Amino acid sequence: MTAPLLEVRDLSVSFGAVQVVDGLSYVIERGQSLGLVGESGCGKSVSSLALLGLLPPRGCRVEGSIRLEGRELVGLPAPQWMPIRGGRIAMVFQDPMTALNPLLTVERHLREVLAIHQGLEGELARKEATRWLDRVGIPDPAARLSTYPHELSGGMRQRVLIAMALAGKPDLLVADEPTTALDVTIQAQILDLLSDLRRELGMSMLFITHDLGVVERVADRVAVLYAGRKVEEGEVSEVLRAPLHPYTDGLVGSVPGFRPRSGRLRSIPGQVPSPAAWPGGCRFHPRCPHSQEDCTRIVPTESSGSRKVACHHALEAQR
Amino acid sequence: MSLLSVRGLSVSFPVRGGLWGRVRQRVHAVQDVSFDLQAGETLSLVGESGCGKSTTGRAILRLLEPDAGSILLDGAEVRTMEGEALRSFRRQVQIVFQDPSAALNPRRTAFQAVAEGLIVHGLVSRASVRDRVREIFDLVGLSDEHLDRFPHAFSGGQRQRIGIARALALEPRVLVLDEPVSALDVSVQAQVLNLLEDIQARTGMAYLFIAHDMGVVRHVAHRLAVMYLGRIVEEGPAEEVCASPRHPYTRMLVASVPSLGERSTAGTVVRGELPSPLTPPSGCAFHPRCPHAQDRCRRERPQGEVVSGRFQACWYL
Repeated sequence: MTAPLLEVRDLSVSFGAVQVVDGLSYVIERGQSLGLVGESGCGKSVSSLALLGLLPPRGCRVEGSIRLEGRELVGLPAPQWMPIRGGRIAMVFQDPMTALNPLLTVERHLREVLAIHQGLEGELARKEATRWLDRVGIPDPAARLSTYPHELSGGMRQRVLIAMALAGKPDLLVADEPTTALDVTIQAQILDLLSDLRRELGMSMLFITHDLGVVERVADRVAVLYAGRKVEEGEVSEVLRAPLHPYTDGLVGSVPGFRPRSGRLRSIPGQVPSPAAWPGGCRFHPRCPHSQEDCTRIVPTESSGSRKVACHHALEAQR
Repeated sequence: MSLLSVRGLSVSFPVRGGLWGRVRQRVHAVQDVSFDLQAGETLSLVGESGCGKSTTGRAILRLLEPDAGSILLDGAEVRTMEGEALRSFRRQVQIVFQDPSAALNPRRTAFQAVAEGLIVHGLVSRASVRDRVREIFDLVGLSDEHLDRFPHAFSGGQRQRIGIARALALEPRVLVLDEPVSALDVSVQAQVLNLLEDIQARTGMAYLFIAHDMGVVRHVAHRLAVMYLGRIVEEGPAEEVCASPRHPYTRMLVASVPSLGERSTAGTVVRGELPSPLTPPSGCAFHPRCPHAQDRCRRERPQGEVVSGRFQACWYL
């Protein structure tokens, strides 16, 4: 049996004494798209920065294992990251303005990637850059090469960023809330573009978002994170239709318009806890409507199988 | 008579440039916007960034000076109000802003933020201010221990509750809510939306709910007005508009929302980007993005008409 494209096992990340990701495990097979869902502070962005070795070496401790086709990435020395970062795993960030260099033209941005990962220079690189801009749906791509980021709209900047990420022909694309800063009609276009490109290029994707509607649109499987831990994982349609974890259930009920209007929203009481003050036992227990005595003491272990849940009183039994 | 009536509202901003900062041109943010709001009703202004929805809200509160149009509260013209009438208007129409962190003074406690309006408008005696603020805190789900804390000690959702408490303190009849939940986490967003629903049920307050999220809008609004580049393109009962959008822009907007528009807008292609409001397209402003655009759309702007209870501004419906 060949190793999966990406296998994350027991990944923990701490900044000083504060642990922000706690024992996260997941697998992404070739061509598959996994959605990582959670609210602010759940560790979804930090855990994905670890995939690209982008966490600061000082003051930040990464434990566990991240394997790309069986090759361990945790603890990899900086020079060996070069061909992986951008070449095997590429990233699209949330804010397309801060992710682009305001002093460089679109062409310079793309040619840097092409030179490092494809060894392309000169006219050949220019042709390839134009082709990628065309590929991500930028009108009049040849003319756009000489523009600067500030001359482009938010949607167009995000397209440039996607072109840059894809130009290195990665096996895995990590997209961290790539549409959160965009207007809804532009968001829809970017989501469709990512899905189309993924299918055509046979690429895998890790899609990080807080928006369940977005996950449904782009992901095959979904992992729900709460307070640094994974609480549920499974096929997108199953998880969203019949959540097993009370947190997922609350999240699905909280989204207005996600299900047809049915009176009040089922909100989750309380606040998202901060990483410095995570509750003991199951971290969701203070906000959980089904919480019992054991939840306050014992950390729930994850069930096995392809549909996973970490809860002492999963909702399955109650259905 | 409607509680709040807006007729032909237009607002523009100067665009300055050059060495002396002369006004080069004006950008027309809101053009000829009209709507009515009844007591106990939620009207939602929905649209993407730059469509003029927030500007409309601010103009209604007289935080901006409109170029034209009229704003009537109980039939009285708001734009010419002065003195006591204006004070009374300010009490009756309140606003909750999008970013609760920016809307609160970091050097004033939650109590001070809420009490200020009560004192300025002389609604309670100084001695009973604290008790009244306590009552309002209770109403929005904050407790006594929160009274003397500063904004930094609150989470985003709690700060928005303070913002709502501050507006409610004056017992307004119209509450303008400018994207009140878009800065909040999903689970907290639902708490605030439920809170707003409860308050409306109890007080019969009218909400002008400004938002970009069709899901949120569909949930909270009774009626909704869709804006595009400063104008209302469609208006009607919220559920109807979301379930069977008519204007091509509304269709695109509904189709854009993941999981919302699957049935009613299947096959709708979402394309193009918002043009610059400085150089709006001729005729119907939506024509460059519209799949049905024809010659007439490029030449003439549709004035809009009411068809079976719904306003729509499109030549080909």
